[in-house]
Amino acid sequence: MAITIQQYPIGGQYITMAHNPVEYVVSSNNTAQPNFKYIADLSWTSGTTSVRYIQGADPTNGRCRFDLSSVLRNVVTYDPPVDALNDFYDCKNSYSTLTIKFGEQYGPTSAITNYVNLQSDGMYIWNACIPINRWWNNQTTVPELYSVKDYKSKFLTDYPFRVQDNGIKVCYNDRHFLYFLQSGINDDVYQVKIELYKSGSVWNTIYWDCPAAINKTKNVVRIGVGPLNLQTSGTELNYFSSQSPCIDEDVEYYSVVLLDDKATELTETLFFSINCECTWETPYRLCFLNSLGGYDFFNFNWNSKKSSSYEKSYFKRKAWSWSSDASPTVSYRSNYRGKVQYSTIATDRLQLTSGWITEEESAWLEELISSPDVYILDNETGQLTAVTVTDTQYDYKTLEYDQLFNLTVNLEFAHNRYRQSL
Amino acid sequence: MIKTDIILNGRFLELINDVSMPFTYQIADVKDPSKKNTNFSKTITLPGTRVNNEVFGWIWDTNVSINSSGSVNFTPSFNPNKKADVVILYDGAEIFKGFMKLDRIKVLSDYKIEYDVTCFGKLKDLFLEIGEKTLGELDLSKYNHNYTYDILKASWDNYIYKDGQVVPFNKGDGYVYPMVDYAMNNNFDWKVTHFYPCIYYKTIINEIITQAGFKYDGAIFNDNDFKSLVVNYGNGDLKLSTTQIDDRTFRASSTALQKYDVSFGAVIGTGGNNRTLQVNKIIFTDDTTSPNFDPGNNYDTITSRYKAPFSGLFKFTASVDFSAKHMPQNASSTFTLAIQKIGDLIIRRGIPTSVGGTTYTYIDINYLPVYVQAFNGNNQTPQNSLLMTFSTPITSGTTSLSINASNIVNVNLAKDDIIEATFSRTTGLVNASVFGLTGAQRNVYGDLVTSDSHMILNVEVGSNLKCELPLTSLAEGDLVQMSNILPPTIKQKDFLSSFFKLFNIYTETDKDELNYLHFESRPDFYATSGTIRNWDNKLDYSQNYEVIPMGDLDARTYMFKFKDDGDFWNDFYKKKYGETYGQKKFDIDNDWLNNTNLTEVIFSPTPLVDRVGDDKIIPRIFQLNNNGQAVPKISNLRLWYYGGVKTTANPYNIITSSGTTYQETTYAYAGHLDDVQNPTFDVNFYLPIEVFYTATTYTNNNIFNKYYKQFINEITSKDSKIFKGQFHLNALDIALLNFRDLYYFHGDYWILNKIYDYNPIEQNKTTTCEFLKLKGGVPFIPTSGTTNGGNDVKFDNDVWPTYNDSIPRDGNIYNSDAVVTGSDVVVSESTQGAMINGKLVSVGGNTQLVTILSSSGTTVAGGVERVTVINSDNAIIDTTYTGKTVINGTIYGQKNIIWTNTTYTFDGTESGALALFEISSDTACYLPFPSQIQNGYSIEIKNANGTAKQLTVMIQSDSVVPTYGPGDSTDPIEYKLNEGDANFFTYYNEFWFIH
Repeated sequence: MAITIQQYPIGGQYITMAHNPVEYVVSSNNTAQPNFKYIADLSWTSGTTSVRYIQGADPTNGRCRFDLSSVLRNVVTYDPPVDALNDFYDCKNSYSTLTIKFGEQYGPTSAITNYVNLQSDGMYIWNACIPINRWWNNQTTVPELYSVKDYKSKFLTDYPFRVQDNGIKVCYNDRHFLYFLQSGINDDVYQVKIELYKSGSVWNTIYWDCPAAINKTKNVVRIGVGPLNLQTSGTELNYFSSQSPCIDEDVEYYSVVLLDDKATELTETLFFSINCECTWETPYRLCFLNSLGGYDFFNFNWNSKKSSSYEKSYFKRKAWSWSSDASPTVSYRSNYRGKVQYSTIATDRLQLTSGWITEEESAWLEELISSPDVYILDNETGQLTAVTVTDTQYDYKTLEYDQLFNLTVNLEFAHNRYRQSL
Repeated sequence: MIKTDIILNGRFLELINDVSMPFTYQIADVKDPSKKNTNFSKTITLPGTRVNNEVFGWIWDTNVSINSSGSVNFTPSFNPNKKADVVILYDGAEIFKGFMKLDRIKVLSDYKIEYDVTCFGKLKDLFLEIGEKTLGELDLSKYNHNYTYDILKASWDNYIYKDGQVVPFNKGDGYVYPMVDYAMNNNFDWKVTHFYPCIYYKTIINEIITQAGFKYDGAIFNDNDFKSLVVNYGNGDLKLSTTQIDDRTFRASSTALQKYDVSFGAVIGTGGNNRTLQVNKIIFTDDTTSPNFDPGNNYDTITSRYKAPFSGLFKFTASVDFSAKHMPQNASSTFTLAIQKIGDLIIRRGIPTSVGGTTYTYIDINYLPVYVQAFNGNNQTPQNSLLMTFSTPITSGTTSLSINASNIVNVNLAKDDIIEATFSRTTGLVNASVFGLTGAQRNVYGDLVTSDSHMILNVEVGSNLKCELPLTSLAEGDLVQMSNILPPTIKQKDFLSSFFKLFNIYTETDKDELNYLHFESRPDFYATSGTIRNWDNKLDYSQNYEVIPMGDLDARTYMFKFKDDGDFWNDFYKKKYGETYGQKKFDIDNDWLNNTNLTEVIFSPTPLVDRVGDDKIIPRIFQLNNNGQAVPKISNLRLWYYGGVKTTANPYNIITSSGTTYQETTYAYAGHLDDVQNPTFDVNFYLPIEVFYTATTYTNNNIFNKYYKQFINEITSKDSKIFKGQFHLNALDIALLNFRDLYYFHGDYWILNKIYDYNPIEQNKTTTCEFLKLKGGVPFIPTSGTTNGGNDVKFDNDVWPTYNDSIPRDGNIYNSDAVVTGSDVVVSESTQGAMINGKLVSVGGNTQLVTILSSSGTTVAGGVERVTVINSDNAIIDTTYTGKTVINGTIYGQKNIIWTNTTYTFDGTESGALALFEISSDTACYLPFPSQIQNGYSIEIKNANGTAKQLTVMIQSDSVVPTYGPGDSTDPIEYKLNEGDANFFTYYNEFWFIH
């Protein structure tokens, strides 16, 4: 009895994406046994039961490919910034630790025997769903790229602009959150370092310690790093800053980078550009789940159009009524309603228009249109309002064909409104 | 916002939309909840979300193995082959409970999966909870009590037993023992066991509902008439329960080999036929290992004795595996063995020599002779004995064989008598020579004196003794297990349905508690109507509506009746009037309908009958057997009014099993009237055409008039109509829905009849509602009045019953072709030309020209012709008497049974025969086994030869030899009769005469 793991999922033996194929290839030296089949017993940290896969050997090579994603995509969910905390937040719904035990079964039809746990592996998944063209030729790179490891490691966002002079666009009163992935490939995150720039120079530096409870070997972490988040006092959030307040409206941009306990950078240095568009419209800031399992944010500052549609039902009452005096008589009055609207269901919709966007932003914003989890973020209160994007088609804009362009998105509020029933 | 929750195995499933589940509310469900359509199925598509995928165990992935091994679902994972419990809530309220079946999984892509499921089930309902349970499954053990005179009589008006405690008499609670004539006595001497308990109707209804997990209320349950109703026990003798039988019986087996040297016996006299029996008790030491049992601990494994826990009839079976070993002195000798008796397997009874004593006087009550033979001739085995046969001549050494012996006996035991099984060497001596013995080893009497050569009989391990009860009737003093009183085959739902039918019960489920039911009879239901609801503004005038004249009328004839039964008086009434006693047929004046709406309940009516010289007018339930005798009849359930204790001017006796006689001047009355002399309530649907007693006063306050008359008048009115239209209903309307309310719209008041498919999630649609407009009926006012028996006495169009003097109430029952004087004479309807002057005479069917004069206790079997009986008491006349005359006990024209062979066997059909044996030698006869004969079987056997002969009387099949003479005689089994000698023996508690 010998089971050998011949191939590990995307990301090798450390981490992989829950919504992409989670494939193991195993082999056995017992494939010639009667009624031979491979077994994979899958269990995870929050699961109370395990799931067993049973598959036959490939007739050409005797190996077996187990794709565990059918189950694993349901093991993890998502963690929107619903509670609007600024501090480090352990996104427990977004990751899970797995144990996979491989075995086999064979024997005469009347006495097929299971031989389980002949080989095992531990695995870590997070709630990413990365397009196939980003991982099929270089399987281990993608998870590594988004796991905090070294200065090349990325936060869980694909926002196209993240450098010093062209960073993530935020307004001074915007909330913003970054998600990052600890995979155990390297040291744990010890602190976040934020440098705020005025006139091209560092004006203030914030060191923000990662709480011990969050500082795990493997997890997904959220941290509030928008300008509005940073306006919260350092005492409250337990960070150290050389200035107080640590941010003001003169800050032009700032950088964010994660450090280990030796001050070694574990991620890229991500820049935010504080650049508020001038608008007389009501701005809307959307928050949406991206394909990496984190949440991205984008402002729609131009004209917005809100509309409602109604489903109304009627019936017809008699047109007269008794008078209410001591000697009632039949009376017809203008307020005696014949046709009665007894049911009213309102569906609210919102059409938002962004400012001018770049070709790169146009490509990136496709994730908003396809995102299954979208909210309107109220910067003032931190409240999220659930909406769905009703657009079913998206045109990528290019400078060559579209020259100057923006994005219009159609939203429908997730909850109906109802009116009085007569 | 989705308001529907589907809970599968405790997990909330995720839905695409609310589940549309329309509900219908109708008065028909209130009127007869047994017909409420609670079946429901709903197909739902569930999205393949994270939660749903997990609940269904990722079954959509064909490579995932279903982790389920139990007989029920979710052990631990979902198993599509098993029912999965599902509950559906709407706005938090349970609206559906049942099972979910996974029909198919639609894998639209790896990332889009849908589950098609179907929910099957029933809405929460009393009848769903009761299911197919029978009355036999109803636990009434709280009312268990002992079957004694004191407790019987206390039930009349003093106390009953409840939960083992004495509680005061209270109508409607527990049981009562009224007087009912089941033809078990002469109407004067009643045994305690002639009274059967009735259970209060309210008690049964209460237990059915509460044991189903429901609560209830209703004014009817506090109505004195309702509380007085009782349900009879009509299933023959009260029976022991399984536990009671087990507690009195046992089986024990042997666990070690037991050896008997059959060649020895102590010599006490001269000759081989006169010696002390060598009695060895057979030891059975295991009464616990299955199939052995002794839950009553009546068998003592130390003494191997069974002690009778009560007085009665028992059946014992000793099943013994014998093996025999021949131990010849000369091993090389060859010999054969003629048939020899070596002993008897005996079941013996021990009677304590003193009350509570431990010493006994033994009586052998059954023998099984055991013989041995070794290839020698064709000796005939005596009947009813055991023969152990060596199939070849014994040549040398030790030879063995084995055989099973079963000795079975039925015996009457007194309490504390004991029973043992023994093996006893017979009084005859084994022919020693066949064992190779010589003179030196024999004494002068031919007895064996050495053990060098002998035969050993072994009782093998596993031999057993068991006790059974041939009769499972409850004896006086036994515990009456009330759960066994009601018929085990009648379903509780049918019993409950009859309750709804009888009292026109409307049932409403409490709006707050689904298991809280409110019952009201229809008159009360609408009499207590509370709220007038103005739905004038809810009627949608933009849509069509329908008006149906007399829409609630569904038949031309409305028939209300009890179930027919075959006892004498029901049968008599039905044949005479062509209808069921106490039925009501109501014909409608309508040219368009021709069908009948039948309301029939599971109870049968019970005519009240009096007797000349006896003022007790009580139910009399019996049938006539083939001999025209009134005998008990198992009857359908009856519903009676318990009228309490009545005084009688004709005292009677209640006699206990110990012989104590109580003369009674009162009796407990129950019948279809509350009080026979001054009736105010009649449990019948309607007044019978005739009653079988002198009814000078009667009442029209019966079931139909009280509970149905107003309703029938209302629905048959030409002004009644149904309105069907669209109404705008909301959840509050449904929450306040009450069928007893009056609904105002369209200028008048209406009774709500039905709401069609109200869908809680479709608030944007109107709902079809149906209302009934009834002409205001006049509530029934009962009256009681007098009658002189005329057939035209009436009140309010209710015709009073006649009482016809042509129906004899002196116990005489006969047809118009018979001439009868005397009392308790029953002549079959098919009898022709009977002339009877006597008492306690019965004449069976298809008899012709039977004359009985100055005789009592005469029984004439069916088919007898041309027989005359004069001045001869207790004569039993069967077809062998055809053409004969019996005068002063002597038969003239007798045709005797004569046998000339050495044996004669009776087959149980010769009752009344005079058997003669005229042979020259001694003879034997075999009596039929008791199970083959009917009650009252008797024969006479007479020696017709001129000289004394010896007659051996034995019993067929089980080799039981009856004991002779009066009492417990131990006379020899053979009895020599001289000509004309007469004697008798006892056998199964009956006296058998031999002349």
